[in-house]
Amino acid sequence: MSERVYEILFIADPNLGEPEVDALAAQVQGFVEKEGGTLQKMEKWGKKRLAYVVGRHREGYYVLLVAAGPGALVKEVERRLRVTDGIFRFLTVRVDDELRKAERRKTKRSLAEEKRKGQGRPGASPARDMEVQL
Amino acid sequence: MSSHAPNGEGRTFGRPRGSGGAGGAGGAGGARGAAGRDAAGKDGGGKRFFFRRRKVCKFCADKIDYVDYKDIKLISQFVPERGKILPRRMFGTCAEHQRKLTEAVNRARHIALLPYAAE
Repeated sequence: MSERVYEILFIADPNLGEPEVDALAAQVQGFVEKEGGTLQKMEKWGKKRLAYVVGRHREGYYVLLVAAGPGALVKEVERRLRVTDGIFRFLTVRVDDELRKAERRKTKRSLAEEKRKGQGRPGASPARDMEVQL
Repeated sequence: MSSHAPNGEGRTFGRPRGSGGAGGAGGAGGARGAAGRDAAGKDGGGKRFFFRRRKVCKFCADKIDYVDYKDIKLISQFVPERGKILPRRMFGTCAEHQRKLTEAVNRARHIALLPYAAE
């Protein structure tokens, strides 16, 4: 239970080149792994226009990381993100709970639908047994 | 009363107005619920009958369980140009999904995917 899944989305300086952003992402991955977490996914969205001006930036380079690890990881990773040059905004969101709930609901609904069709299996496993595959 | 009506699939239904006659556009505002007010606004004041479309929560209808802050395409449908989150009565979202929507919008705003206010 102690393992939690977090989405870490950060915005890097758009003036950095591709390799520099890669280096930054690797650096953040290093933060995560140092705290006993594992990286599940890394997604680079590329340069996007910001909805409003942050500092003096009008656009930014978005990078999304999905990491699993203990809760203490977030504190340290966020602290490090804050002091990392080139990253000017980040957001960490815990997602495992919400996704699990959504998944549970989905299975519940499909089960209910089956039942409505008159083909419901009486011995169907409860939705709670479903685990989110991440 | 009418707000607890069973889930009709977006059908229209009329409601007879009192035979006062004096109630113009302003009087229509006295109808229950904002949905009624909207419909009355579109119809123009003078009609004795007005129609109200039952609004269905889009998230419920599309079976979206997790409102993702990264899904700007979805979220921006509920946030007008101006950048404000509109009240539930405008879109008919259910309480649960409105709450999740708000959360998602606020996250998206923080990460500069959505504006706090229009420039």
